[in-house]
Amino acid sequence: MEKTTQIILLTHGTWGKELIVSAEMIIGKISSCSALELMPEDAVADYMKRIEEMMGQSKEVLLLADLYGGTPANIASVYAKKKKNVYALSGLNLDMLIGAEKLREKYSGNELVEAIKKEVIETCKNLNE
Amino acid sequence: MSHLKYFRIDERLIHGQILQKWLKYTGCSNILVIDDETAKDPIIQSVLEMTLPGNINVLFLNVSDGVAQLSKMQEDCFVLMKDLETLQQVFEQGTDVVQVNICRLPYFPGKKKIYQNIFVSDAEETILKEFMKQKIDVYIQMVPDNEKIYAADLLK
Repeated sequence: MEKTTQIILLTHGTWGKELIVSAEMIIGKISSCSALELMPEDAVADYMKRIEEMMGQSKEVLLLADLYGGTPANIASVYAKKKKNVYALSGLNLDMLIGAEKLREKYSGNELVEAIKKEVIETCKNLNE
Repeated sequence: MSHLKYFRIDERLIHGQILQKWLKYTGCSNILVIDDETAKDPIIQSVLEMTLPGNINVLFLNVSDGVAQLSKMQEDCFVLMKDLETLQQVFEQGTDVVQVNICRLPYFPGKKKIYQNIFVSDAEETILKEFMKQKIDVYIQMVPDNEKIYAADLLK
């Protein structure tokens, strides 16, 4: 079944692809989800072209970027502000990806973003306590 | 004491390396982004300044306004530009440039690699050689922890 929200991971280096592999170890195959790496030698314009090609004609896109303030997150934020059907979050981790996969069954758009954010914040715990 | 201008060529403008490393290293609380395209795009500006701490001032100006701003700055300033062509214009319009830090020059077909993450076109090589002739110290340094690699040593 085609999911309504396409997920694209935007990362410094190639770890986004590995993150999908790791998430699939836990929850099984994740469809309509891919990763685009930004490498040190990449031009921003070229990276943006790859993102746009991947977004294609999707009804809705959720960009999950790694470092807040880093270039992948900055680009995600520009798309989120300029394109109506694009939503974005920073602070990518395994909890976020698994949460996004689960929550996109139920939510979309800004509601989806808020639901993921709320869930991910809850998962950062002091495990000594 | 005269104020310092840290010129940096970085296609990504304000990002993690600037926030985490360069502002602390230089002690600058002023950033000047000189880029014609960014100067007229408030959305890109809002994104680039989103993560800056509150004590950092940032201006996004086109080349001619940037040159005017530089001539009247009374404090140290971290000056960011996307490419060498922009710096050449800034220099030719009368800004005093002593040192230039290059972070990266991204790859495009037809460019040649002179160092890690540094790809130059013929036009860029000409600009670099012109800067050297003008006795401007041009060096490659992604973050302050890296050693400075002088362009003069790569383009002999």
